[in-house]
Amino acid sequence: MTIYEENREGVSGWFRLRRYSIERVLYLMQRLSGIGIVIFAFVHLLYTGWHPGGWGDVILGVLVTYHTLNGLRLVLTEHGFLIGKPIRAVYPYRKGTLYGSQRYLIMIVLALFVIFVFIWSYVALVISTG
Amino acid sequence: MSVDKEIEVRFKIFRFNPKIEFAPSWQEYKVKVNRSTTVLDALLKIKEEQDPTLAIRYSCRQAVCGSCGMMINDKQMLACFTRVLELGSDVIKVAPLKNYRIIKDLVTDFNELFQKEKQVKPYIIRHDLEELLSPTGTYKQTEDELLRYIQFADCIECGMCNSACPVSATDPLYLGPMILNRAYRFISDPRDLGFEQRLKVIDSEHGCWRCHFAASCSAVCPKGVDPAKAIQLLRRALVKKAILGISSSKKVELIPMEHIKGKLELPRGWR
Amino acid sequence: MKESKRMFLHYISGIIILVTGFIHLIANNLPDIGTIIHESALYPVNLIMLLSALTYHMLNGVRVILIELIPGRCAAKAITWIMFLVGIALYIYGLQVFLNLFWPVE
Repeated sequence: MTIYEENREGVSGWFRLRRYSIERVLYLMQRLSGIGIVIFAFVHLLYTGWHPGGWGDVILGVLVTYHTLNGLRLVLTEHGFLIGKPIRAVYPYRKGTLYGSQRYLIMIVLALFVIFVFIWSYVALVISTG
Repeated sequence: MSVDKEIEVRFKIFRFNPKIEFAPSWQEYKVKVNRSTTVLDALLKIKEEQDPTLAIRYSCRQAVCGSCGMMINDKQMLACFTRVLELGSDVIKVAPLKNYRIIKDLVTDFNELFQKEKQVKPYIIRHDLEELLSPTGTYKQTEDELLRYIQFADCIECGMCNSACPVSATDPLYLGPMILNRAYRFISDPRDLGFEQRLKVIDSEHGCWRCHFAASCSAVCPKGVDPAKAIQLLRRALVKKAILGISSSKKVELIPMEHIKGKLELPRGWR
Repeated sequence: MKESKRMFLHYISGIIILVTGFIHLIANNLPDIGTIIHESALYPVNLIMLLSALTYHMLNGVRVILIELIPGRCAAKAITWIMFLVGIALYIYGLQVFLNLFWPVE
């Protein structure tokens, strides 16, 4: 009864992504990729030199590249850069965190992500296997 | 389309009375709406004509009071600020705001939220008590200084940002965008000197560092306040304080005004 | 330590991981530059910096997730301490691995 009364979403709230802005998706991916990397790093530390190899390497590359690039974006935005100055709220509202330079930054991050993932996959699948 | 043309729309409304019922249920109503009917109008029509037991909370009907925030088609919206036909769907799902305790049907309990708000001292803190009691002038404030906080002062406390936040979905102690926005509004005010006093709550484990910039708060804000920006700027102020030792409290100039006379009459028993 | 300092270290350690992790990858995968790095003092220094930054960043991230999932002020303090102890243990284990790597026991 208390569960219905409290009406709290819990972890399922993280996955309710439609109807909100793209930053929410990026946040969820950041968290999931972080958990993935933590699992890899533990195993890598306990069995020194171990890495998944082949397609496992590609997946690891995707996680690490995404977490790094989005992390760099967060270092900038979470310290108040590139989100615009406070302005008078005049209708129609253009919120600095959802328009302009922050959105361009997201586009750059996603473009770099795709490029790096392709390079990394090529290295992992073609070059290192010979 | 003429204004008078009416269309029948189905409303799927969340019904739950935690005192007598075990689980919530959904009830359907059919309402005729025209171009200018808001969701709140439709809900009131249901209450008047079909089911008087439906509980809603509203006050101003024009997006000023912030009482009627609810989940309309799974997104936080002000019922008085959303027109039914604008949503563009045949079935309209109306539920109470997520992450708040339900009192009845669509009414949620904001008590916890306002208790949290009290902790961050949402008022201007000054140390010059003599000047406040017998004012001799006015505090100087330039246009730039006003622009630093005027956007965040527009908050109507509808609580929709806290409801949309993915962190408050799991963490009931997290202060949430609304309260952090409120704190930053007073911290960035040049007249305020209470930055250090607010640090204890804001800089705690459940304070502003639990924000992960999902920006859902800004996405749902009906007044253009942009709480996400306020939180990031607040963090900037905290880093400045923690690493560089620069406090965000500023000294403000007092412009003496000759024509201000007399003392403030204090109520008896004060002091 | 206040929360703001902890989280500032989180960002700083993230950037350190970016640099040192990149050197680590180059040293282990590119044959020409890799051997040069492997023979110089840069390799162990880089590895120890990577270990400390990674341990901090990783466990702080886990701590943040756990604090958000388990409400309660007391729980937050307990999680912080447990993560601190786990971090110390992991760090000592990692250093011991490096000692074996660089100065193997006969």
